[in-house]
Amino acid sequence: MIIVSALIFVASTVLWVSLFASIMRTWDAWVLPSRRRVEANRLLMLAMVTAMALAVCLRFDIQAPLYAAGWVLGLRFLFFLGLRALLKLGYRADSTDGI
Amino acid sequence: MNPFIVNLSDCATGSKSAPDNVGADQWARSEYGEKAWRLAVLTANDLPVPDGFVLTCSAYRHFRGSDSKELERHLLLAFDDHFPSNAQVAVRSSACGEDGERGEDGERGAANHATTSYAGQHDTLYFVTRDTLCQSVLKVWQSIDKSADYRARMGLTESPDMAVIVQTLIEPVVSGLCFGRDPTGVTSNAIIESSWGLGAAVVDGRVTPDRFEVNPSGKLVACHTARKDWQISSDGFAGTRLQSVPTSRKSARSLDDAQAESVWALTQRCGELFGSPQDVEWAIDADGALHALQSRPFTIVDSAKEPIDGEWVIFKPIVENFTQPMSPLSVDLFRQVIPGFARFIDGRLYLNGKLARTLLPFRLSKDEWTDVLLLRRPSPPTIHWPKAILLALVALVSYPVWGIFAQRARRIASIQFEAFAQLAERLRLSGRNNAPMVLRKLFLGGSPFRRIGLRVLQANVAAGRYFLYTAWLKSLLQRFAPGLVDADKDLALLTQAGEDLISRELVDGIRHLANVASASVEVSAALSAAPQSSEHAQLARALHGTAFEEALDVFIARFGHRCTGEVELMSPRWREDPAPVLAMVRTFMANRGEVRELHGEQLAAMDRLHQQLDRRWQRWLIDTLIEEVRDLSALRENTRHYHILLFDTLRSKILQREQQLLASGALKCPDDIFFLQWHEIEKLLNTSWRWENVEPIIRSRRAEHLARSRRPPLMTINMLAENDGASETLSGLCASPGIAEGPARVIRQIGADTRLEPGEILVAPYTDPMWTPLFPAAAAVVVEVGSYLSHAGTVAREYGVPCIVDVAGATSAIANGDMLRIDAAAGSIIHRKQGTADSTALSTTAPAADEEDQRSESP
Repeated sequence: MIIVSALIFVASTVLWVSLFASIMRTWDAWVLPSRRRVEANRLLMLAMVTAMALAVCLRFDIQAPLYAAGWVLGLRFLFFLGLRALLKLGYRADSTDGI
Repeated sequence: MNPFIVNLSDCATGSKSAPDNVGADQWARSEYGEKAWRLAVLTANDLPVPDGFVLTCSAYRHFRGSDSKELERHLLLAFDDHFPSNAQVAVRSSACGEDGERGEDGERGAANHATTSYAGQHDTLYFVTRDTLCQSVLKVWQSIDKSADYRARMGLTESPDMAVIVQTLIEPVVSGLCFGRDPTGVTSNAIIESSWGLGAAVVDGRVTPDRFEVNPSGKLVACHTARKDWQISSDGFAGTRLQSVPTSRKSARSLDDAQAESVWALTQRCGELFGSPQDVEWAIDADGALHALQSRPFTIVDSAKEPIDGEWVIFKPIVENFTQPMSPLSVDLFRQVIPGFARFIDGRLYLNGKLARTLLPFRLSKDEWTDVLLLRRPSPPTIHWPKAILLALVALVSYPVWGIFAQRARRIASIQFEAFAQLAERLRLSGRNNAPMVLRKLFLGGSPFRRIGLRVLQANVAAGRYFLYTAWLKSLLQRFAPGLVDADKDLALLTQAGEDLISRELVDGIRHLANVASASVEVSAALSAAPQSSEHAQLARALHGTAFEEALDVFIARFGHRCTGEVELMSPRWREDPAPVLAMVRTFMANRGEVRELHGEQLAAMDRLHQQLDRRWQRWLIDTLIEEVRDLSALRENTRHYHILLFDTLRSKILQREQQLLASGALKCPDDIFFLQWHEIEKLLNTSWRWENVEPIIRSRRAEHLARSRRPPLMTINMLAENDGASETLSGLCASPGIAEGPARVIRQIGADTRLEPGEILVAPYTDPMWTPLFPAAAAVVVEVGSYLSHAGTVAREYGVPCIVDVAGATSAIANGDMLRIDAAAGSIIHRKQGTADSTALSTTAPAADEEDQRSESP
């Protein structure tokens, strides 16, 4: 049971990452009309797959995909918030010591 | 006898007036100043010094601050004695201690190098007339106050007395400086710097002078012609002005061989007279006569360095394209944004070797790790499983973070990066952002939620994973298709990026320019007649209004931000100087080759590959990987085109500031700004500093930069330790001190085509003059026989290369590619073999074969 849950968790992580990446890619491609369409289609496909997988999991009361979503979003945001804070600290650091 | 005025030629000895207990020379130097005394010694020895008189230090003490009427009377009497009434003269300072040597108790006094040159500290005035003489002398006296900062820095507490030299004015056609020895200490050649017009242009650093090297036997061995845009000449009244050099002479050589050698001979003679190498200021007038204007002991650049802590390996991707050290400004700016595991050492970027090794999931020894970092590891290392599991966990954790980014950056059209180009352009035009702010905005990419097109550098780094995919692809092919005849060649062909490659667009652009140029007889004639230097004005006139000019403009609009040495902010971009583009066009015109049809070859290679693969899933896997490698390598190459915009934008921001500083007189010479740090530039901008504050800084950093760029970069620092058991120690005698680390290159016989890669350590049985060309490229030299005075030691000292001699059996104990750490001062060589199999193979090769390239693969 633990192994199955772990596998579902990892698979869900991959799925969520793909979905979020697809959202970002659509956003990235917004400047280019033809690519925008391609990316939007890809996003739609992924969203449908994710929704179906989520529906199956909810029907059988499998919590792992939800945890995976939290993990993907949480880590990503935490990491970047931390990174930005670090960079801002770095901006202020005096870096004029001798060559 | 007038105690205030003395003939210049009489200043060589003060014996007539010297008190008994003071040496005559010493008295003369304290009364007439160092400069006057030295010129008088030259005059007494029949060297060509312009005639004149000296206003003594007694006059300075007597008249400073008092009524100038009496002073003027003395000066005019002396003027009338020496010059016709309408003559124009030069008025020079000659302070006590100026251009002299520090006393015996001075830190480096014994080494007989001047430590107080006062170069550029005191005024020299040209085109002075009888009417302006007194005023000019007072002005020169006042300049002693200007040198207070300099004296404080040099640890001198008292303000010196100042004599003044009034001399016949030489109006030189060309003038400059000659250093009796290379001031950087890298060679023992004399260095001549020359430029058009008055020498002040060179002394003040207003022009980049031509540079000549003359070897100790008086032969001109190197000549570097610079672009001399300005010269100092008379303004027609009683002063000087900065005047544009006529176009035809800007890039022309200012000294011919014979003139350079006579300047060298003059400097040598001065050196003999004073018993130490000299810096001589010289001028050649319209009649071609050479004059000595000043002679001072040469100022040496202190090359003593502090030892470096930690283990460092050079960052190969930069050094592969650009072996020069970076300028101080580039280093100062980039240091603000590079991550903590990297560091600039001597102007070059190094990675922390220790930090990453502890995290890597491979069983790696220190030298294997060095090989990996230097991108020359031929076979993959063995995996360290406990660490690998740990890394897999780390990868899983970071996947949510980086997976999204990696997928976003996977198949991105290069046009999406136009957003970055637009941002760079906006920042270039905006007055609000200074260089460090521009760097942060473009380098760090702002918010992680911005469009991927704005995060070019990160996309470039993310695309680097195609190295891993290529390695995987190779190992899969070895397993799936062992019968493939030329797997490496096919793989290289298959993974070549397609049409969407910007570098291909660049080459096509040059080819197009060559075609347009060939279509017009005038244009091709103008192009082939143009010199290789950056003299563009003449060519621009010839090309004006032609179709070629239009095509060139289109090309420059697209690729104008590129150049050689793009990471260095000091490198002029093609937009500023299109000479390299024209040179490439000329090369294309001269070598018209067939355009290779890659697509057909790729299809054929794919066919060969598919025939070897039996199963469908194997084909699918290999095809997917090939496509991935192709896309990612294109992404890496294309993002490079855009992230170079960062350096270009940064440079333009710096040039804007430079214009401002040149206009205000806070800087005197283009490119000087690159030898300052940003906080120093800010001080100049807010006028809390002036040219006088930065002049010595720029001077010493320029010399240091020159010395660094002549040394090959150290590939590793402290990566080989004595006490790790895997290495052995050899010993010998120190012939040239220094510390170096690098791969060994054993050469037993020298051939005409023997070459060293920069950074390699030369190991030889002996050396004679035939070996000399190898020395400048060597990181160090190890010789089996010899002594301090042998050829190897002498030449190594000349090039500043560490050298150990008398190392018995070095060429048999050491094999090509073995890592060596040389501490020449201690005479010790730490030696680590490459690996048993390799070493055996190398030790059995014949001497002649040793000269073939047996170094490990270096991509």
